Amino acid sequence: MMPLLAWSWVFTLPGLLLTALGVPSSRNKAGYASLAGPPLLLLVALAALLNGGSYAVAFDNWLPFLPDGAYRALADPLSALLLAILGFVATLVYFYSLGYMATDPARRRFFVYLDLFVAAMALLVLAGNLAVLLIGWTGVGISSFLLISFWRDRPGTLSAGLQALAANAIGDGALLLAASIVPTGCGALVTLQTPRCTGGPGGAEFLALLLFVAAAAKSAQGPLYFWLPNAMAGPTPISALIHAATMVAAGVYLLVRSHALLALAPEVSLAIAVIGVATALGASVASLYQTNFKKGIAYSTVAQLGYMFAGVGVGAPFAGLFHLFTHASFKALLFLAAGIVIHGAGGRESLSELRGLGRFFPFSRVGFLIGSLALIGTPLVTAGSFSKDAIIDAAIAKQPIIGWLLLAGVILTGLYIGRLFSIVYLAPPVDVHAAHHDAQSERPMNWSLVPLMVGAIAFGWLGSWLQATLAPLLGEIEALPPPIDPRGLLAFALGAVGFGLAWWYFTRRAEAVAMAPGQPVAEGEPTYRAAGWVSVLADAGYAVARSLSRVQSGGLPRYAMGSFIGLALILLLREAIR
Amino acid sequence: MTPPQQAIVVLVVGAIVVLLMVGVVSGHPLRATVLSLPFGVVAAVVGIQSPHPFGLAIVGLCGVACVGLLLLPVLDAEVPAHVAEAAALLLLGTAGAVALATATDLLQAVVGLETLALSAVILVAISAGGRPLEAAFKYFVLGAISLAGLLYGLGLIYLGTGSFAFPSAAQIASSPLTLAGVVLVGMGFAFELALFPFHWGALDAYTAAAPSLAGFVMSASKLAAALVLGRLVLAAGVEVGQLLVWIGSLTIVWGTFGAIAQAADLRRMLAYSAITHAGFIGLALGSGANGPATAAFYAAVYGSMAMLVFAALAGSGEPELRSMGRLRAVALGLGLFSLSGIPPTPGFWAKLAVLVVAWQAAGPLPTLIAVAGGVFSVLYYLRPLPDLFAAVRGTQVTPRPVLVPGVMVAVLAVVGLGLFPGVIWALAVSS
Repeated sequence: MMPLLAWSWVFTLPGLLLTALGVPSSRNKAGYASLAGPPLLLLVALAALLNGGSYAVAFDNWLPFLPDGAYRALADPLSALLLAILGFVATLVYFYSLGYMATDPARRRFFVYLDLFVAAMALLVLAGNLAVLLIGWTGVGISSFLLISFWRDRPGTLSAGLQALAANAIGDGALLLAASIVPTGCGALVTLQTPRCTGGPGGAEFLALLLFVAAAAKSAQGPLYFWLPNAMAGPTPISALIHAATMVAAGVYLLVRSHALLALAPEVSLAIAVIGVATALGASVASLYQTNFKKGIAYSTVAQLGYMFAGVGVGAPFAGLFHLFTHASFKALLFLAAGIVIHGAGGRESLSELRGLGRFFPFSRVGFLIGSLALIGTPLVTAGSFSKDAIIDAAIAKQPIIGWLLLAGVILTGLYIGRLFSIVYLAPPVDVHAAHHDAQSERPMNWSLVPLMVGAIAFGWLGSWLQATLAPLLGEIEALPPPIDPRGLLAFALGAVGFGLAWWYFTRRAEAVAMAPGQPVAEGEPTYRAAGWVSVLADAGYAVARSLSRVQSGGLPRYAMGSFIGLALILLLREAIR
Repeated sequence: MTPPQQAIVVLVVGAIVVLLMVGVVSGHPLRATVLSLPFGVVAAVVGIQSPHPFGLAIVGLCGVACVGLLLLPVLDAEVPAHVAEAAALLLLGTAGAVALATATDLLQAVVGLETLALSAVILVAISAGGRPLEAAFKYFVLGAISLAGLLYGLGLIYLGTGSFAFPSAAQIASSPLTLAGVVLVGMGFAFELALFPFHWGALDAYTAAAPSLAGFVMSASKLAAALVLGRLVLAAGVEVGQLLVWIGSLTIVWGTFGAIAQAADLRRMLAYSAITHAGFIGLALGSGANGPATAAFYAAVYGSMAMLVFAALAGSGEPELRSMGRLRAVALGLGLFSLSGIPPTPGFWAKLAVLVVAWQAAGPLPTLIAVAGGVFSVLYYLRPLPDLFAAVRGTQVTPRPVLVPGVMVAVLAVVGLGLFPGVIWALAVSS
């Protein structure tokens, strides 16, 4: 099965072509041709994962100008696991989209972009060297941009998409640099840690730093978090698939894949852990202040990715990967459940408008509850507890301060998810007529929640099996904590306290949406303005750009003068730098 | 006669034939294409027998010219009266570009450069309207100044070395006159390449020219200038190369900022981005022994991408993104992807190749500038895409059938280069 899996990135391409060419031609069947790709991917990935083994594809000399110019793909249990996650969530999201996008006039284009994303993501996971990784890495960024700006006529969507592009560009640049500067013959991901490949200028440390920057941009960590909350401008199924379950986890995947290189660069590893825990705590607090339902969940994604980064950073790549696996189910569940309410409320997303409407959508309500319980790590009955405890235990064992901070952060998790759940699903509705049912499009949406509920509840028990499967790849793997574990119970208790506090506060106070009194409650259209430092930088950049382009005024004397001044500038610069 | 000379003769004869038959051709764009296209194809077939990278350059230049000729019927909609002249100038300009790219001494380079530059100026000028005329005039005046410098430099080199051959590093070191001459000659070539700070006239000309002609003007001059500058740098050695590295880096910065500011004007953005690409070529040229080959590779790839974008834009004065129709929207999208360096398009491979040599020979700072200029180009290139792809579904405008061959040739070139970049690379480095 592994040889087939190594080419599985082509599975969605026939669907992409057919859908793009308008097959089937009936508008209410648009996208049907795309539906077969993801389930096929899921089946092949599962079969490969069960059979084990590995398979490498290599076409040498494809790009002779690169240090490693071969086309290399690598199918092994790690990529099989990631592809299984991708196939699982993508299958459900495609199915869900049939309902969510039922009446959208551009539904065909939506499915084309989705197919493009799945193909690029599969290629990213299967990449055997930096050159191929770059193709997938950039490809998912582009499809993410196209889908964020999908509803182009809504204000702010283009700006949100450009923010994602800008953040991704930083990561792409780091990866581009890594692919260009490694010594000749290097570039295969599994051999980056060999002495020959770390022998370039800067050594292993610099290479690891570049990979970390790339991963942080893709996974919205540290100062590069800014684009992910605004990526919620895209349709909700996209938020679930790309901006929660798969693409944003690519950074974690890259770090897990190159864990041996990270082991050679302890300073970089520590930086990863510190950035991870800081992001986890900061984003948890930020989630509390969101007035937009989806942005609240998006900050939760940023925070959970922070947990994964912290796990990888303290030297427990398996724990980070395990959390990636369980998080994909329960975070996709949270988003898709939220999407049902948003769809029923006619596309409105602000918490004050959605207040109490969740009770009219039982599937969504149950799904969101299960997702929330998994998020705070309810022991035994949810998957989240297994993986989160694994991260916290490993962190406490290796970097106690980081570990205890992660543990304490669970109370914030309980607070923010409790707040969202209480406002939307528990509080009395303001306007009972604001919700509309549309049985025909709700049916596929409701049923696609069910497998995710199963995943959010049960996938944690797969931990030890996964550990055995991946052990040959990840080297020394720390033991998983038992299902009932004192620290895990403490974490859950903190989360439950937070959840309870939020429930108490937000269901009692009829108008409570905002955290801080006096905070303006945004109504109507959500805004996707860039975060503070980004907008400062962007404004400065645009100001420089405008003033530079004003120099090109059309005046001939100025052009002639400009040539001389420019020449003098270059000669001066050269003297100064030499 | 050597193959490049044969190619030049074929092209010049073609231009003369078209001009002689101006009465038959004028006002009949299809006849102009049918009459002139064989000369372009034959020149390519003849020229490919010359040693590479000359053969590569000739095929690239003739290919660019052929796409331009295929687009003549579209040009007809814009400037009805001048189709015959445009066909002749495309062939003549290509002859000049071939002479420049394959020059064995500086004298031939000057003749080729002027033939190309004057053809380009007139091609810009015959695009309808007052704005192209003004831009062409400025391009001409600035070109004349740079020609004066170039000829003066030529004189200095002759004074220093006693010949018109590309001066060697030893000759430059022994005589400051020769060094000054090389710098002046290099500036003349840099003007053709549109490197900062000699890009002013080119920028306005690129913006104003009719789309079906702008592609040729931009691609042919870059490809030819990249080759001849490469030879100059290889002969002259490291000193001149370092200067080019910094000129290239500054060009990338200037072009990137300029393009970012052009949110509303696609044509202006493309003109600025041509400056950025010139910067990449300049950076590559200065990057050690493998630099010039990489620059030739980059310029050849750039030619295919620019022709694709302008073939897709041809026939529309002010492009309306949402009503472009399916074929042109997809072609333009592919061209923009490639220009911004999205893998697996050829623009990405070319950029990677430049980064590799820049890191090895030019140092970390220029490489970082190039990386930043490369990755942030998505901010201006991809900005039109959401609107553009909405056009695929929106009100369908059936493309005029005359547009199809030109666009398809360019699409095939870009897709082929994207899948098999190694082929062109092997030609570029096999010197």
